[in-house]
Amino acid sequence: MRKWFVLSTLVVGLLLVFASVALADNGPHQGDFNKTTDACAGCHRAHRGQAPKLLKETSQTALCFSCHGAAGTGADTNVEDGVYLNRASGGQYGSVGAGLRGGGFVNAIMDPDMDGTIASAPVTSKHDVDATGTMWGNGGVSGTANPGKANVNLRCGSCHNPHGTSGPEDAYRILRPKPLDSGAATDVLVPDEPTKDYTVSYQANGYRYVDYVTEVISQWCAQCHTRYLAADENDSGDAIFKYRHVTADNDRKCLACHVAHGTSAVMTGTYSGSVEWPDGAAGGGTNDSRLLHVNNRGTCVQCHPSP
Amino acid sequence: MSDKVKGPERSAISNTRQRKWARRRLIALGALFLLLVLVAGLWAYYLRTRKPLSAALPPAPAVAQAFKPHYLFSIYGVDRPLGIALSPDGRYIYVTESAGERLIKVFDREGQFIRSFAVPDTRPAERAPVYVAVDSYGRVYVTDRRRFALYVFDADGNLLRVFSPPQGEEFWTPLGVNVVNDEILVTEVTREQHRVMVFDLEGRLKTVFGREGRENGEFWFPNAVVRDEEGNFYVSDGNNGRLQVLDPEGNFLYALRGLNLPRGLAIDTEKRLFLVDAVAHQVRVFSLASQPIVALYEFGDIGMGDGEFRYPNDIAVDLTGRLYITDRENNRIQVWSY
Repeated sequence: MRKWFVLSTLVVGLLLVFASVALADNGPHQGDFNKTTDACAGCHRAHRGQAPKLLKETSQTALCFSCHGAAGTGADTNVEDGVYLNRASGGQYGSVGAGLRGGGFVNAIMDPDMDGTIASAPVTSKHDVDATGTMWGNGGVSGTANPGKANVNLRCGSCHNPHGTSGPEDAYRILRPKPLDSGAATDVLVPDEPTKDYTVSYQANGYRYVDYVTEVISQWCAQCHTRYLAADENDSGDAIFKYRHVTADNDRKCLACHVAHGTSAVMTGTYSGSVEWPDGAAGGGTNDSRLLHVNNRGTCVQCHPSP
Repeated sequence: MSDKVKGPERSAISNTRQRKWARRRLIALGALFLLLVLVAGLWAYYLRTRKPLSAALPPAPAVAQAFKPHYLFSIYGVDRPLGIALSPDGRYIYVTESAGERLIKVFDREGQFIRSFAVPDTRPAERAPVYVAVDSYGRVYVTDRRRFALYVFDADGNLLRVFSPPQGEEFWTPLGVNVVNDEILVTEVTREQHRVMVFDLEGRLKTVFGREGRENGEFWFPNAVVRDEEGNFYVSDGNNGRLQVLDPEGNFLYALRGLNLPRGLAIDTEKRLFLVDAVAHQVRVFSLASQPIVALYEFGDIGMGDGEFRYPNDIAVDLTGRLYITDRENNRIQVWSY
């Protein structure tokens, strides 16, 4: 407990010190952290926090959705519906009404059946914020079965730093170099794109453009999903993640097949909906889409057209 | 007996009477003098110790403004409510939902559900009603962030029209809406032109001011705008964490800073301004009796109990002293009263 208190105090202190340095994505995350700022008390309680990081509110998601929710009362990025709402002439930072690259937490605007029609539909799987689950593949290679880190409470702030990132470079989408609870030992900074664009776009063949980030995004995802990162297809020595698809490659990075927030893809096939989880639990059926952005296992065919 | 009094004796009696009268006059004069001295003394004492009457007895509005409202009850059956408004007679409550079916729901002032409606031919994912207002004719104005539109319904929820801004302003993003003295006040948040627009009921643009930014007179996701009796504008400048006050022409006067996330605004007949601070989970109350306006008190705190809020967003007041507040994350409307 004492350790957490000291750590939290240190983190808040460092955030205050560095808050005026380079901050990505702007927004209120930039804060007005002057010498007599009132901003800290908006979200934190120094001695009566109800959540880690001395947050006064147990639901961090509710705080984030105050601006980024379906109503978009404080931002142009509505992450619940996965839609971009900026209507400025010239479509600054993306196309108005287009889907966000990460999908959404309630609805997602995408083309999972690849029929050329991009539409909004309820999500079938998501990184479930404000919920507790298993961080699949977290931890080092293990000869005994270890599916990952159990009982992890995922929040928006697990991956994004609400105060902005500080350092020599701005981070893509204010992603934390070390996601919370990941246990990662080293930083992975995902550099921001030179020309910011929040929205998804599709290639002529129906697949999504995913060139906006380099293979370092796989390194970043692997901060939590450690054993999903593979440079080759050899036996890893792990009891569960024994042979793995190469992911540490710019053509085979995580986002080539998955979205970050939520997808509307459906698993209607016999096999796709019955894929077991790393801990052996049975697959969940039609809506068990594992954040894939194409129905069933259509993502495989984009690289392997004639298996 | 008097007939028997001789001349010398009569003269002596007369002298005695004159002396008596003279003594009485002297006594009366002395008493009068003492009275004058007493009055003068009291007057001098009053002048030395008097206090302004206004300080000893505050004016009536100040007395009224000193009282805090108290919690009455909550209305449930709404999914993450955001905006709220009342019919002109105060009998009906209109509220927008930001989750679930995303409807505009109507309740009576006892909290009984009356009806619900939405933009025709839309699915929940295709609409995002945000703020709502009602004009003196009972017409209901609803901004929709997802559809970049301001819709006008009749009191029963039938769509009358899509409010059309003037030529050249078609690509707008209306967010907040209020109707004050037959003027439609809209906050507009298209990137780089976050601003306030004022229309008459026929839709003619009367005034527009502001742009996106952090300087005085600039806004960053302004969520609400209201006007006082003098015509001054009060704008909740959400992401800048301040309340901006502007003159009737839209010129910046001053700002109250240090707010967390100001959202809904309302003014009552007692010259009180109510500001909902979503992240502070409170309603802040100001007196408009003088300029600059003065903070009176705040009410509410974070929680799920009676009178506690989790991300309140908007407020409406009626003529009986009732306050209706959308309590977003508690999925309810709280009703308070003076």
